[in-house]
Amino acid sequence: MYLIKLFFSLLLAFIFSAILTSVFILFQNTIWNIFWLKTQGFDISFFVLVDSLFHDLRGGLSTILIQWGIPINMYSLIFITLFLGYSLTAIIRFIIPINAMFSFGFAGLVSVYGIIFYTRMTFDEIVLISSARELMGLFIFCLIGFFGGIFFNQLKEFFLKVLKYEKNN
Amino acid sequence: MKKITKYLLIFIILFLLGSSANAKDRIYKLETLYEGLDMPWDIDFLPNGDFLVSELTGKLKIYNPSLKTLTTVSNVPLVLSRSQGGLSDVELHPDFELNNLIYLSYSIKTKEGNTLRVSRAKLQENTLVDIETIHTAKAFRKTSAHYGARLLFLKDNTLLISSGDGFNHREKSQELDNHFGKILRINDDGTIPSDNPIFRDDKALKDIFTYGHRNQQGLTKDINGVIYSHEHGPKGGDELNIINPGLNYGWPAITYGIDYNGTIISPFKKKEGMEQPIKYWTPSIALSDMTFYYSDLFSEWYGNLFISALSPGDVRRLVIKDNIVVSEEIMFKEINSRIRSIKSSKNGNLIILTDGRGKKNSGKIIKVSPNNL
Repeated sequence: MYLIKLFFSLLLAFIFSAILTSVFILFQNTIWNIFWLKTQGFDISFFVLVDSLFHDLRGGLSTILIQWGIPINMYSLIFITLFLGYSLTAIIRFIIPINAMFSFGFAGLVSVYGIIFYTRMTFDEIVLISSARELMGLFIFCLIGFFGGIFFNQLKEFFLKVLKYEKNN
Repeated sequence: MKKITKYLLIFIILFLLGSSANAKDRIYKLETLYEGLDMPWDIDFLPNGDFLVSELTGKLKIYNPSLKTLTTVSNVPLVLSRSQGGLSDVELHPDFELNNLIYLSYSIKTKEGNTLRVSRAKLQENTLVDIETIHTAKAFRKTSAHYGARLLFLKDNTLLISSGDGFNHREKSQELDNHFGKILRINDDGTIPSDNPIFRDDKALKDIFTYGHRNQQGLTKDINGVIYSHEHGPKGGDELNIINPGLNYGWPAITYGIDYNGTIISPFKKKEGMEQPIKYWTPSIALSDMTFYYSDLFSEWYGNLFISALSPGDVRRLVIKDNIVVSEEIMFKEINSRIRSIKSSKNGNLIILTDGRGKKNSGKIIKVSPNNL
């Protein structure tokens, strides 16, 4: 029973953190574009901003072709990359006991950078997530990955604490 | 079982009759003149009736329609052949019969990055001589995408060059200190015409004719000299524009398309001071070239604009009246390939290039001529 609960706790922590990371990645992209339009003299009303944010949350579901011609949407791409990143980190932490918060944060950063790197390779230096075309955008993008990793670790620790408490009582 | 076979036979006979009647009903016939080109990009016609064909991989070839032979032109400048880059447009000087000059657009690699270049040279017995670079676009990038690269001579012998936004540099299309996302106008020797538009921006480059474009691969003019340009949109929003000097065509501030990843590029489709297309396509059809048709060979097509498209691979016949597209017909779907270029030959036939992308040496030259000849 404990193992099943542990599994679902980890799964929940992963889903929550991955959703948050995906939403922030898409929002950053939208705000990047909207900010540029503002510099071009466009009147950005609250309605335009909210409408654009929701458009992009839906837009993340549309299919793109990545490395090896694989059709995938943004959410799946982020979820799979983060899953691989966190799993690898968990395995490494079994062997080398490194700081959990830092290692999962780093895993999130590398995973998100990996998304940019591999889609860029597919499209011959073309960056598919437009906000990552510039260094500042790429930095914010990786920062989102980093904090996403930290959030995953915090959630995981929280669920583990709850489970431990349940087990002891 | 016998019944099924009987119905199947009837169906096949009706289908064959139907398709043969369909082919007979057509006013045109398609004839493959040559197969085996390596990613052909553009075609132009020499005064003796030969075709000049550029291949993205960097070769320039002469096709002789009577002998059905293909000759490679030597001494072509070295090009950067990668992804969308390579040897692109080939254009004869309006006074070619006097000066033998041809103009080539192609991508090159420089220390600052890769960019679009235009050179001119004399064509003498299948060799280029006196090669001269007349323009190198200030649009240096790491990407090998969105070069534009279409050339068009105007009536005053000035040359228009379409220079694409380099994909990763789309915002620069709205800045005038570079050649990303611009249509440029130069003299036939590369100098800048004195009557080019003047922009308020002090940093504006003097050869800019229009700005706010994405990846313009079609440039042509009608019988009255009105200039038309079409450009690839992102996901949706391919545009056909009428080009007037000094104007802003809006990319990426206004667009009918969205980004490839499904997110918005701009929520705006219109803005004062930015031009609207006379037609746009969503979803995209990947416009590749265009030509106006002025011949009596197909009198019903006289004055129509033919636009070739890569995806799914067809030609759009547009009837334009008073700058408004009044009808569109999808044609030549039976070619069943990416159509890279379409030109109207001097004798009134349409000549089509298919690029055979993905398969080496599978590009074709296809002639469209009347069915009754």
